[in-house]
Amino acid sequence: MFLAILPVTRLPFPAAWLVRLLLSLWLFLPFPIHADGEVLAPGYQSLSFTAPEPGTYSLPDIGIAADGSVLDAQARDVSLSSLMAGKVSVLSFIYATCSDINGCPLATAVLHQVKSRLRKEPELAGQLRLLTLSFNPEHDTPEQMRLYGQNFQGGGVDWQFLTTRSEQHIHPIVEHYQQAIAKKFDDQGRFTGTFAHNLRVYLIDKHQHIRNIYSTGFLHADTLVSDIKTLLLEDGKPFAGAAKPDSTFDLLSTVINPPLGLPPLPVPENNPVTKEKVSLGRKLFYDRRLSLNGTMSCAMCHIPDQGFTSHELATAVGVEGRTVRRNSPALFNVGYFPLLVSRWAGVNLRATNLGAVAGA
Amino acid sequence: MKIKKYKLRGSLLTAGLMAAAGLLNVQADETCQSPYMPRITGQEDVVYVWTLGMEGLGDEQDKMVTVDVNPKSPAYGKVVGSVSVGGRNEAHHSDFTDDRKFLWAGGLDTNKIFVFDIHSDPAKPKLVKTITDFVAKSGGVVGPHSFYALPGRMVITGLSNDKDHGGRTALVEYSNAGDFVATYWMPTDPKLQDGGPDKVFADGYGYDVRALPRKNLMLTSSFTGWSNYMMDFGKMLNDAEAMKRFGNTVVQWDLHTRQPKKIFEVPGAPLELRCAWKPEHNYCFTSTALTSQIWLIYEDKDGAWQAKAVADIGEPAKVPLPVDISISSDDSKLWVNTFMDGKSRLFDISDAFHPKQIYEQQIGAQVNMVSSSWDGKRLYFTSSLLANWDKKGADNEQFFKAYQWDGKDLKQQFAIDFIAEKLGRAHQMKFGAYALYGDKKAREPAKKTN
Repeated sequence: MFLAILPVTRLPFPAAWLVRLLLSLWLFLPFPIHADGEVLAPGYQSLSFTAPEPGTYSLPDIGIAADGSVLDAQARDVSLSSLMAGKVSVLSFIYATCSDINGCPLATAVLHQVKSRLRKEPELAGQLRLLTLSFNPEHDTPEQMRLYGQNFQGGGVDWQFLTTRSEQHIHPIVEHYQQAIAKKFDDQGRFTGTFAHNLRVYLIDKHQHIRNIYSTGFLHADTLVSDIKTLLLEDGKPFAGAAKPDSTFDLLSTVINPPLGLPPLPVPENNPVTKEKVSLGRKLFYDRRLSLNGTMSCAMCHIPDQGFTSHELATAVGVEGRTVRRNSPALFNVGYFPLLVSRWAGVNLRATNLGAVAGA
Repeated sequence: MKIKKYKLRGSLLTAGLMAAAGLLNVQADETCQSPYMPRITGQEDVVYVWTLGMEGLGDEQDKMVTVDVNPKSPAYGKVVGSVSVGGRNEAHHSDFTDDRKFLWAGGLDTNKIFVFDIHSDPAKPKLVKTITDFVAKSGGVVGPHSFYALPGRMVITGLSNDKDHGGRTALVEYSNAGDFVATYWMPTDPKLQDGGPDKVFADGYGYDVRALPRKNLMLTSSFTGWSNYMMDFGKMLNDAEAMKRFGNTVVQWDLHTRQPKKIFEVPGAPLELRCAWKPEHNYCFTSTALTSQIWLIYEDKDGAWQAKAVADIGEPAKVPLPVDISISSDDSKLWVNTFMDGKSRLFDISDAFHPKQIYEQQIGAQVNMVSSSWDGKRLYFTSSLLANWDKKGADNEQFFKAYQWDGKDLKQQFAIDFIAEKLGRAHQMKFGAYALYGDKKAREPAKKTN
């Protein structure tokens, strides 16, 4: 059994028309095929896996959601940031005459489903705002957007249908969001009224950071609702990020008071050990830029966690993988050496500061 | 030139069956790419070859080399572009962002990531950004290897870490804008091991990444760390301790949440992962470098994922060292390159559980990568594995070779000697086409379906 959807390109608002038709048929489409053989995106079907439980995972910060000057359906100037402020937002870029079934109509259909799902959860619905922004301001006036959106109003979740004053206003917005769009021209170079574009829908948190991006293959109401709830559950918590606390050992105190009965560390009178020098020494020890090709630091062969040698390698691997004939000697207590003895004989390298780093 | 995106041709019956099986979100590329980007199903115009600089050769720097591969082009078979990136980085793999406008290329030694604009002029990539703080931003991940496009983001596999430069590593996510997003360390939790917590194989190593979005599945494979991939190959083979430090795992992840679900024991460094395209084919292949086997990662009848060795490649005892694999777009064939004997082997995988070798041909003294056009008629090969692992002396052939596959035989169309051209070690390949960007240089009318 197949159910084909008829072409609707002559209708005034094919996208909205398609969305309504698809939504009305959604549950009854065993094989959702468009008339020209195009297979409908997963957002039109049941999800083939179970959406994750909200709050059991984190959505990392992908970047700042850009601001921009837009017009609402009443032709009032508003900023995107004011619309996003204090709410979780879902932002979708469309153009009203788009008839690519897996493009703009898909985004509108999925947002409609999200809105329907949250109707039963008014406390969540009040914290969400849906934003549908046209990237075709020449055609999509505020009035056109009002007509486009009129069937999707009401029901708890605020859904704004937006456009801009001109292409100059929408251009920086789509640039920032990296929403690739290109006008399609016919053989005579005339604008066809259609655009080539990759569907993108953005999930934006209350602090106006992008937390997920969906394209045709990913956009589905089940996962989008899970993601929205996940963001709402993290309220008050900081962004999920890659914080890497660095536990720094107090090296200066071991220089002043050597542990384990070790004698005082020889320190030149004209070159005392200071907190700043210890800090510099640590940085130099890990700095890969000091090697021939900017690749290797001291710490790569003299691994601090492995007693400042390498447990992994019998003999060290040098710059650009060149074979080295000896192992990496441990650096414990080299602070007591008057000179660093290396195969670069004659280099008068004072070992004290290195020792301050490595000997701890 | 034909561009295909989110569209399936063919009968309603076929499309209906595919839809019923849940295909809808799966889109193919030139057989091994991320599904979320426009793909070239016709004649490709150029191939980008991420090339390692060689000491004493040309400018000695790593470079993105563009080869014209369209037979209708006057420059067919010629190098038409070369962008040097400054120094040698152990150039390795590269891949496109989901909009296919940028090509990201990594250096395994310096951990730099080079971002090329390939949409402004597909024949002349332009280096527009160099990420130099990958290690610091990622929290200590070393060796950016595979680049895999997700919507608005790149997932990058590491090979190593900055603590001991061994094989423990992570998946790292960046935004398309080039900003760090997140790090996910490869799992070592014994409880995730296939077979139970009493086993001891979870190693936390990494290599390649692929996804089956319709199943919410992401897989990663495992190789070895910086201390091995930068070591002289002969020396490493004779170092028993070093040889113990190879990955033995494939990890199943939840694609949406990026959480590890299960660790499979796949001994001998499983490298490239290639997932089947057809909606009813819920499986992916990998090949193991040291044990010379094809492994199938598949969904069983209960919906659980399993791993199984399904075929030997050549004679495993001789360690032919399988490297790259390429699956055909109809899931019926798998090309397998073996580095040591310089051969490419073709397996019939129409029965995924019983692959059978049906063809082989010598490509060179050494061969590494193989890339297939979507229709399977054109195959391209390159030579370099790693700077310190490539063969020495006369066997260190460095080439890009183009072949036609007529269903029975591989016929060489042209070859470019990368040493004679003073370019370097030819490694990974990616395809480009003018029509992807509406470029007038497209030599055939673009049959765009979107």
